[in-house]
Amino acid sequence: MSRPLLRIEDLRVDFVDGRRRVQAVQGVDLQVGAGEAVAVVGESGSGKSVTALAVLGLLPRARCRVRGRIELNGEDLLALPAREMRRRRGRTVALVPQDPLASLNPVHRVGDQLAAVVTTHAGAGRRAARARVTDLLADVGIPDPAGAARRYPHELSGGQRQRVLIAMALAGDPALIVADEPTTALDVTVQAQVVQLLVDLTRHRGTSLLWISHDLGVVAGVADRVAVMYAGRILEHGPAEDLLLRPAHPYTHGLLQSLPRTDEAGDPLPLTPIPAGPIATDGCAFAPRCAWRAPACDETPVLRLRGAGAVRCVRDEPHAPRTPVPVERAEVVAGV
Amino acid sequence: MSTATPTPPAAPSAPEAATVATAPATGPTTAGETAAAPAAGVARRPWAGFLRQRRAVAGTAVLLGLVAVCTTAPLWGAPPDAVNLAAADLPPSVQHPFGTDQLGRDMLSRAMSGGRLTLAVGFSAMAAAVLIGVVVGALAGAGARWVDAGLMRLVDVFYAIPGLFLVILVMSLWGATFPTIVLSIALLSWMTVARLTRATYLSVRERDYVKAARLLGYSPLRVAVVHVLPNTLGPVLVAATLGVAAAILLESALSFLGLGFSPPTATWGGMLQDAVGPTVQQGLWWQGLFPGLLIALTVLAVTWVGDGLRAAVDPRSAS
Amino acid sequence: MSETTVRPHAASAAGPVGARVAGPAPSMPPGPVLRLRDVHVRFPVRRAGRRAHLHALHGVDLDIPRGRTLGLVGESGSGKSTLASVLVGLRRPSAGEVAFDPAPGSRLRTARQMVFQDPGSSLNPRLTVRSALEEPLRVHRIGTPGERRRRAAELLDLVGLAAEMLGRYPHELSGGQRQRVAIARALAVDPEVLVADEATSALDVSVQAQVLSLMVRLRDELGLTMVVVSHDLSVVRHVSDEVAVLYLGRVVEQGPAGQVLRAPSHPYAAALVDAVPVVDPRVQRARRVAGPPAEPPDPAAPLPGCAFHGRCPRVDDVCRTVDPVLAPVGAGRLAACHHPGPHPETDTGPQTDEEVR
Repeated sequence: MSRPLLRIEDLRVDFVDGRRRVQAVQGVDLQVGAGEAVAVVGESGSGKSVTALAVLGLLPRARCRVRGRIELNGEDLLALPAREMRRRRGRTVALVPQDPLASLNPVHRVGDQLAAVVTTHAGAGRRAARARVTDLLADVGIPDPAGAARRYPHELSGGQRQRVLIAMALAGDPALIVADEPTTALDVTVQAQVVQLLVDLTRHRGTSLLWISHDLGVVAGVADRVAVMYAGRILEHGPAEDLLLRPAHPYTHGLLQSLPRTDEAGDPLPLTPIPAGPIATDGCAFAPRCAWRAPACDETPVLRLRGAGAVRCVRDEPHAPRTPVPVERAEVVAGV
Repeated sequence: MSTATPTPPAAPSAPEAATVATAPATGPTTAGETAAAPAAGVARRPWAGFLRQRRAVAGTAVLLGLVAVCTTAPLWGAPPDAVNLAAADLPPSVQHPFGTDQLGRDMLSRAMSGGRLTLAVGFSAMAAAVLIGVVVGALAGAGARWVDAGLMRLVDVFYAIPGLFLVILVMSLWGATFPTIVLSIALLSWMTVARLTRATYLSVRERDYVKAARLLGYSPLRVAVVHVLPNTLGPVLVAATLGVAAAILLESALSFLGLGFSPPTATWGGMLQDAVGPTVQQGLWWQGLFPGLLIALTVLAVTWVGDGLRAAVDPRSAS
Repeated sequence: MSETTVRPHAASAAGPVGARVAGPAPSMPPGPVLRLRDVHVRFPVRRAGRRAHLHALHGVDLDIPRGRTLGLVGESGSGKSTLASVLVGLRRPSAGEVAFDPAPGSRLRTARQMVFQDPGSSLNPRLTVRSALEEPLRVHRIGTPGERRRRAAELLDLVGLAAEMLGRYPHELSGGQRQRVAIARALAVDPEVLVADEATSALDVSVQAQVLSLMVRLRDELGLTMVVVSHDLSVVRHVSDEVAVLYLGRVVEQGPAGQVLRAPSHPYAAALVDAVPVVDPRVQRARRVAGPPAEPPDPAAPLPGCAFHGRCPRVDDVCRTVDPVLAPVGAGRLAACHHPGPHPETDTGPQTDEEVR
């Protein structure tokens, strides 16, 4: 089996603020193969964005302690000095960030910003860069690319700005693109287009994709494999179809059940939210909220292989319909 | 535009994750909730955030120390106005730690009594400027469009008047007394406070909890006083604290230009003015150094306190 | 699943889980509780140095049926938040009329309440939860101080929070908890109409489910008329009896939720339904988004004719010149389109395949 393009090994990220230490990522192992699209799913505080930033080397060194290995093309990114990491960023691994309005410089024209990326990473001259900019804008489906290049970010629509960001990520022809919630700020009709664009482009070029999201529906259309994060750990990972249709971990199962659904007649099915609860520091972090909690959950579960993926749970499948803890009572008890 | 997760570089949101609590009823560390970024940064009591800033604590200590020393000076120091020509222009010694001036007066006690006046002027002028500024700014923010426009034009007028001219006008009309000097400085500084208050007021007014207050049928007065104003004053007070530094510097400048208190009343700025000639012509360096250092020290302390307040009020803007 | 207590004036009886026998109780007046006729809202803006108008709402006709839940769907620029403000009385329209017909005995000024999107600014940071909940009671002189204290605790319990939260400040609460307090505060004045303006959009998936679940329960128990404004079709679909779709300040389709979302008549509604992601990789991957990558035009510089014609697959000359009116297209359904009717792709196929979820 060929070596995966990206291999994250036992990644641990702590945020240090004076005397307080927060463990944002607690031992994450993840792999992305060449040309593969892997999605990391989680809610706020799960550590998914921190993981993505760690891969890009964008965590503030003053406040973060990063340990572990992040191997890209066989090279450990965490061992690189800042200057070397800067060279990789944009050329070998690139970011498509979340909010295009915040990520584009409002006082520079879009074409100039894109050209800057091109000249930095593709080492082209001014005229060649301009041609490449027009090509890139056309590749991402922006009408009238030459005209668009002359515009400022605020003169473009949200979807177009996001496409520009995608173009910037592609400019250096990276082997891996990290997309951090790239469609969250977009309308749903535009979102579908942008997702499709990114998926098409990466498949066409054989670029690997690491997609961070909280939206399971978007992930379903993008990912070959999915990893679910909670409280800094990966609770489950596997092929998208297996994980999303036959989830093994109670949290994944709960997330899917939390999505508002309707039955065949179009009537709403009852919503079964995951009860609120604290994160446990000893044993399984999800145990306080888990309807299948057992005494064995007081020990931190390890990642067990299951089919083509793995699950971090003592149970086998959460399908046996145990009566889930009634939502209201659990909330009041947990004081939330 | 709706986002369900905060953007990563805001590190305060990350801490929501694997923090403690196995006991059920705890606050913001409950899982599966939106990372309320302020919750992780703002302490339970606002003072706790302030006290955590070492500079702010140091600044407060310095200021309190200065105030204490200056106010108790009459108890232990030599009389500041005691002229003793025999002991004129003496360099610092055990007897006169700050030396003496050209009239033989002990500079340390002059500095202390001058400090009382300087600090009093500084804080009073700031208070006056804040009072005028907040009233004007809040009225502009709360009032109708024409009220707002009218008041802002008033602000513009005051900006346009040359400061020095205004001060000279006030002094010539009413003399150089404590109230007039405080008033002059306040007249030069209230406009910034007014603009800041107005801007903050307008932005707070658009917040959801204010809209909710209106919906709940509260009177406009209640909405303004209970919901808008308290949340406006925070940033304003921070800026005002820094205004003390500006006021002290202004007072020193006025004294330096001869527009301040008349002799023998001592202020730090006045002492600086008196020291120009002797320092340049006779090299009597101590006569200017100590008042200057005291001004600098006070301004520094006030700035630290202001920064600390700002950090406590809005952790995201901590420098 | 949830136990329901039916209050005497509850507008609906709770049947088996989720299904409601909806409709106003006999003690309530008939007819819609809110009626909007030809409502326009214009904002003055500056475009290229000249003064222009942003036409946020353009001739909106809307009936809010009493005791039922209306879902308002729209994307950015649709005017849904402006419409929410108008519905609740926070904003007066530039033109048109808003008629509010409350039940006898309701306090007119506070009969309409709103829950806002951003949990970070929905509560006054200077007030404790207790103060926030007791203040409306105090201002409107409801009960004695002792009764108010008890009522505050009751309200917290109603939204599923523990009484010890009363002493906390907003910054000590999580996003979901703050939204619950905001809901409790709105309920403190016994409103008739509750408008939720993207109330769950800023929350995590699991929290959103909790709050949605709460809202449904409250609606059933208290007989509220609810208006749920959202860009999220699945949320709207889950909660609403009726749905109105907004585009560029106009209602382009309206009707019973199930029907509109299963077989939309207006092409924009169809596009929205098509775009909703389904959590099934087989379905999602098979979908191809068609059509031009066009996006909504600038609301301050409207085009003639139908507002959607720049992006519409059914467009023809009529569409480019004549602005369609909202007209009946079936039993209880309205659409503003020159070529309404089931779009072939949405009648069958995976796009509306709820059971796959």
